[in-house]
Amino acid sequence: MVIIQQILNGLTMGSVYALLGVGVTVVYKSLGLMNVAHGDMMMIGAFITLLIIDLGVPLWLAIILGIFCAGMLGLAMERFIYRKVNYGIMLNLMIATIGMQIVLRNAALVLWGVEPKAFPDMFSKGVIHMGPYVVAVRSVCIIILALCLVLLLQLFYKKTRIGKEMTVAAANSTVASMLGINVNLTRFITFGIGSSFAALTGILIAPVYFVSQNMGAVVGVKALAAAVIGGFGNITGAFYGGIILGIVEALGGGLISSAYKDIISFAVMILVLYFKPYGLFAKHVDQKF
Amino acid sequence: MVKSKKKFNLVRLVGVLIIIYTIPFFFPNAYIAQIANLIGIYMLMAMSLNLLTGFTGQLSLGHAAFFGVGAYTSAIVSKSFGLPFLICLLIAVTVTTITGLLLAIPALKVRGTYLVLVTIAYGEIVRLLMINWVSLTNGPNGIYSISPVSIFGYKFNDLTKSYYLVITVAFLIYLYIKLLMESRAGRAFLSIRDDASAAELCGVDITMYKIKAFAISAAISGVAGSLYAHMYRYISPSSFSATQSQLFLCMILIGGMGTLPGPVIGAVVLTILPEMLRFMQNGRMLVYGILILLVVIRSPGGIAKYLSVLIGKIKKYVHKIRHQRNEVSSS
Amino acid sequence: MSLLKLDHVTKRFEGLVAVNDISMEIQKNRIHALIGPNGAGKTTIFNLITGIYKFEGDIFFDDILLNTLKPHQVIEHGIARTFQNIRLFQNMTAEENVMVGYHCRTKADVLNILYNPKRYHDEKVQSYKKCAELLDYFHLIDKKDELSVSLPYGHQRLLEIARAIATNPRLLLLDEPAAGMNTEEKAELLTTIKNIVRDFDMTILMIEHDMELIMNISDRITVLNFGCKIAEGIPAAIQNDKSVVEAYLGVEDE
Repeated sequence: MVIIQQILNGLTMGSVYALLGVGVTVVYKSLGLMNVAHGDMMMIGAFITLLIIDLGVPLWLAIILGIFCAGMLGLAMERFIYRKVNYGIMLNLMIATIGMQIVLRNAALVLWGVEPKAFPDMFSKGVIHMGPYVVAVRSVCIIILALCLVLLLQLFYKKTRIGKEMTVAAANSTVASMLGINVNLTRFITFGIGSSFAALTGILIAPVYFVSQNMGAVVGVKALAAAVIGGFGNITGAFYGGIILGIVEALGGGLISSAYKDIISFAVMILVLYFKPYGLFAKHVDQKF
Repeated sequence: MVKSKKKFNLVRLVGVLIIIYTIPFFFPNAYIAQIANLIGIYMLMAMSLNLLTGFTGQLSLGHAAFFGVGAYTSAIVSKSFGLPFLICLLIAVTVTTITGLLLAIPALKVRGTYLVLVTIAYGEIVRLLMINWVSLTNGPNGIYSISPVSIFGYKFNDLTKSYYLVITVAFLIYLYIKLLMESRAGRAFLSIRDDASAAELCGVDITMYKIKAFAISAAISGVAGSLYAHMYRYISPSSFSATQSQLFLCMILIGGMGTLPGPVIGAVVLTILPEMLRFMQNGRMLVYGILILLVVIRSPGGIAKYLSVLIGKIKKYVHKIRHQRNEVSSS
Repeated sequence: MSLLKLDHVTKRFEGLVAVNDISMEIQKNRIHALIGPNGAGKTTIFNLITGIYKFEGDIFFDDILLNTLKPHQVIEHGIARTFQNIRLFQNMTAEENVMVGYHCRTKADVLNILYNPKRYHDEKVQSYKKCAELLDYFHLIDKKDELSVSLPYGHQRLLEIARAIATNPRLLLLDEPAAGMNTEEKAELLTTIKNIVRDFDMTILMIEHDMELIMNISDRITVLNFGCKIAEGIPAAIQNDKSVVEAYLGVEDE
């Protein structure tokens, strides 16, 4: 059945959207605001890793270093730029993320030009046959990786002390400070985590999509869509949101038209928001901005 | 904040008019004239975005979509039916306004980041339609040989004439927005920006006013788009991308969001700047991004706010000097 | 006939019953207090009256049914409110805040200002005049051009009341108007509220925690606890009501 194959295809991109969507949600949990530059963090992460690879570092080490550097970059962005913006006025913070998006995208343009660059594959090119259906090894790996990372993140937030502190700080920074939680530190760490996730996602899709300065543009918006469909601040929701988006997109592309695939995704997002303004799985409706 | 001017400052008005209408005499060449024309069009777009985002608080990152709909509608109607410019303009404005109302439907239900997302998605949908609906829009190749602006037979086919047209339109729209923002409706918009639920509980029909903001903003963009299509006589989807939307947002942010002169200043600065930064080709937008970050960190009111603070300081200084001089002369 | 009537009003939020079968009546020109411990449902009732949530039961204002009205329509019919946490328009001056209150009583709009400028200019002049008078009544006239957010706290509270009165209401809902005020300011507030009833032909429904203020000013008191009405009557009766004392159990506000 064509549909099942499309769904399987959709699962792959869906996992990518899910990973990115989760990363965005992590940042949201700490700032109370969606970072529109998240897709571009992914792009920068992929470029940094590419840079390290070009220096002759073996692939797996380069990937780890790349993720680490991206995380550091995220920390720096929070410490030196976002923190200076008045957190009290959400609009300013939103504008700062838009400004950052412009800076990241165009810095990449200046540094690496407009030509997409190839990225070495970390997965085998093989396929697995499940009955009449075909799934790429890469896809299975990405899906499993996404699942594991999200589970790990959930554990982090629910079980570790820092994780719980970060959740409190996100919900109400005044109360958190009164409880002795270092709110700045939680934001700082969150950006690091979020950026690392973004970089990892970029690395995962780089072999297929190539690394270019606007690779974060469309995927980034879809990641935001995933987080939004799932309901703000809800990590599990963002995960499912991404998967759903990937599947809907694949079905739409396969059944309706692949040229209009992206339009279908965006239209679906607008529709979901129209009927459920706080997402499909929203736990509680307390939108800060 | 828009203060209501109780006195009508005739001197200032005449001064401004003199400046903007005599500038063409200083155009050294066609290139500068071209830029002046573009500034006029971008002023319209910036004012349109400022009405929706700066004054009514509906953050939009998809305004290039309105610009594009206006341009394409005017071009398509002109080429398909050979209608005179004014009719094309009217149709373009109507279609763009309808598009604005379409955006308003989901936009009414969401706010903040969700709203930004909806506008981004909307902008993308429009752009993808421009590229893929080849039978209507001629796809990525764009539309060529659009007829020039001509009103009642008078052709605005050289750069100076079109400059006068564009700057007059921009001036009229500026006046209208000034009038609007100093009126009851303007206060309604501002109240929605500051606290929409409280505004509703003060008797403002926030749904209707948000719709009006979208409609007027879209209409002005439609005018800009139509003028653009018939002045440049060639349009393609690449002029109406997300980057263009970001550029418009940059203009009002840097110029001063939520002020009257802000979009005008922003349009001038961000159209002249790239020409001065010619050598930096790829780096231009990078500079804008950095500028935005600087503005948002140091001076969230943009250039307009900075200027007004500066002027305030100068006035205080002059006043102090005068006061001291009086004291000295009387002792 | 009562000005405001709640008839078996219930509001559920996902399994939590915030307002439980409340019926009450408010007579014209009276000051009616709504008291009860935190979470008793008082502000929710305000939100129901002003059309923010759907609910079960009926709410009548004169003989108008408020159930299906949107908030701005409720205001148009003559009910205004203030908020527990001050919600002034922060980027507007004191004068402009009050001017927003006149919105629903004036007509100038996006297009008609173009083809009928004289009429709307007159309307504007009128509004500014009334606004100045109102600000003067509250002794805020010399602060009219200051940003609302830079006014001292007590003045902000007064400004919010002024803005509410600009909408020309017959019923004024005050949500904890004395919160954060010192004794002196509260005494002034007491006088101001009494004057408002007299000078604007107003009826007042007030949520408050300050018992002294309540006892001094109210004509009638309704006590809520956990969404239910546990007592209602004149201040003297409420003071001696056992169930009320129990509900509060020594909670006093200064």
